[in-house]
Amino acid sequence: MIVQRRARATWSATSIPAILLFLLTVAVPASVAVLYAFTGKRLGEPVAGFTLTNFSSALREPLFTAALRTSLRFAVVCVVTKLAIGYGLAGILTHAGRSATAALRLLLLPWLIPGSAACLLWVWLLYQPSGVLDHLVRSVLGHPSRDILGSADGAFWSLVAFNVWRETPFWALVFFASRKLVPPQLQEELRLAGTSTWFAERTLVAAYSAPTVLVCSAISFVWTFGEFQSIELITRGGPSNHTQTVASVAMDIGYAAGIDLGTAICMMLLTLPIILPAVLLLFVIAKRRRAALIT
Amino acid sequence: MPRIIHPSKAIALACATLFCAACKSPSAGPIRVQYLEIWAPALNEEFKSIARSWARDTHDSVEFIAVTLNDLPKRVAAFVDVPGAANLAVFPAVDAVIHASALADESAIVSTLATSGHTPLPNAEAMNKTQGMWPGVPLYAWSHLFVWRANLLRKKSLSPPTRFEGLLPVARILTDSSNGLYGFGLGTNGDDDEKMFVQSVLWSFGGAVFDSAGKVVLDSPRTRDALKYLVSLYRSGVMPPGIAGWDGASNNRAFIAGTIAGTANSPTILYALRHQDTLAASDVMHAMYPEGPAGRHTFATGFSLVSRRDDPKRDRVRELILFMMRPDNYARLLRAGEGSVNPQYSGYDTLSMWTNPQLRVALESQNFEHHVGWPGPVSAAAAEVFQRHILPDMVARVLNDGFTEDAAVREASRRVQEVVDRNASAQRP
Repeated sequence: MIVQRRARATWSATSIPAILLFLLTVAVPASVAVLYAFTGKRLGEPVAGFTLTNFSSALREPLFTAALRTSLRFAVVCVVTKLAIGYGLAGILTHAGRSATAALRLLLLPWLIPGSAACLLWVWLLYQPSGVLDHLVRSVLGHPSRDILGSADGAFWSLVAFNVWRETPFWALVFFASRKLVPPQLQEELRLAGTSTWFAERTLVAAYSAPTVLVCSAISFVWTFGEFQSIELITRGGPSNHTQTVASVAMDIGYAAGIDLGTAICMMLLTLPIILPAVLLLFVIAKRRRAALIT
Repeated sequence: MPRIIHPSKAIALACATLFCAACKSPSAGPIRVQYLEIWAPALNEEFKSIARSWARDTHDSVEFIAVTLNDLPKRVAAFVDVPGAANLAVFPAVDAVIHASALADESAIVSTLATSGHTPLPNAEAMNKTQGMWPGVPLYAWSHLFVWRANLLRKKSLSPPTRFEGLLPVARILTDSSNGLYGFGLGTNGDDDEKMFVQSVLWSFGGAVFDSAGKVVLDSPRTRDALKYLVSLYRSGVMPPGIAGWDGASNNRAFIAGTIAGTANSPTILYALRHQDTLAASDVMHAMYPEGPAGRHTFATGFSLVSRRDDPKRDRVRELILFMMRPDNYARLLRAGEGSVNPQYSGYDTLSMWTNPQLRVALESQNFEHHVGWPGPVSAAAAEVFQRHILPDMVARVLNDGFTEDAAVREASRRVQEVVDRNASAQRP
């Protein structure tokens, strides 16, 4: 009885703060945001009646459709690239032996630098005419200057490169850890059977890593789709709004003079029909793969 | 094992603490002043010093919340929507007008200032007054000017152009691209300087986004003329490469680094140079915006002091505002700004710093300045069109995306109309 009471008390003491934190930082702001989206809320005035005007405003916004396409393209390209490189790096680290620890530390550096500082570093790298890259291209390689951030493709691929550079190390670390899930006796059996390392990678390691890879893909897709910081700091959605994503357009509208938070939030809600099915699909496949492994 | 307080006791204690905090009288406590941290640290410090003097003299107390320009929109939103976020704030004048329904009417304070011989300047009134009320007390404004490297102009025996037609020839003479020097530089990625420049050129060519009734009139032959001029300027080779990727500070950096000989900017460059000592201030020249076919027109950015109409500390805030705007204190503030901000009232142009010809240009530029949305009224739609850089995007569409001028103007006009319709449906002023 005393043990049960103590267990309940311990559960309460540890869970209630976490639940409160979740409510205060996630549930309450999200609920208020949804309330703003479905009502005619104006700043400084109480919430007005139910309305779908904000949704129609969001759909009529000329930049919204293009921003949605850019967000999707950005997310898919970044996620596929990060996973491919991260998975490969994890494989290399697995076979690197003792030097893996030192390699891991260096690998994590891009991820450890504060986001805004990293963005500014890249701006200085890509800036024209006095950026580091521009200097290398002109002075060292002798090629003419290229306006990377001033062209639509250059700006887009710069953002992709930044996102991959910054987040791949984290995923490489996660995949490196997931490879430890492979039962050693199975690896030993394959080795004794004379199969190649590549065969073991393709069959055994891939099978055991699949759930982790799929879950990471889902998380990475959500984070990358909603990426705002790098777009705001590196390209500011330019040139000519070619790198505007839904998040950056929503921010522009949400904090423009009228402070139209309702329309801005609606824009983000309108991306849910894309994000939710993709994430659910990946989670379902991951669950099935995991179940297959257990059986 | 450590003793754990029973959860029910912990929750009861927390509730009691919150209840006690909530019971405190809403009109007690210090006056929370949300001030704008601009590029002139001395002005920021003087602002706080004046407020502290008031607190000392009246045995009251003030607290300060510093807000940077980047954070301003969010802080404006918080001030308007959250009672108690702050009691007194420095707002962009346009935001004070847009959110007038939540703000106190400061007409009495403005009248008091007028009776002391300092009437609001016409531009200050245009930016701050709406429907017969003053939702904010005009504080200061800053001008947008042309900034030139005087030493380079002198070397080539040139003067700043007085008409836009003269800008390109002057910039061409100053350009020496083989040595990395360009005659003029301004970004095309929608930064604030470009927004103000494009808007000013549009007005100077007789075009406008809105007419005097607030109707969208962007799609016009005069807009096309202004656009043709801007495109020809940007394509002329007098600007450095990479301007399509520039941010708001790029033209400042390029000017100080010696990459460009001229740009359009507020007086920040001169202020920075005088304090950093990287370039002789005498090598920098301010000039008014050139004239276009429709005359000389330029952009004004004004700021005002605002308080909420439902603030229980309203009386104390009013006293603080009156103290800060007392002629001697207001003059202190302006002097601390060293000419980087303009007064919004008559009678302050006789301060000794305005004898400096560089600073005098900014003061006199006020005669040609207009608020966002001119010749229409200040409105949420006009401010949003400006903040979302729809005019610079129009230019960038031609420069970067191969649009014709017609297509770019039509697209910009559609975007402006959409902004107007959305704000109208939300019943914003």
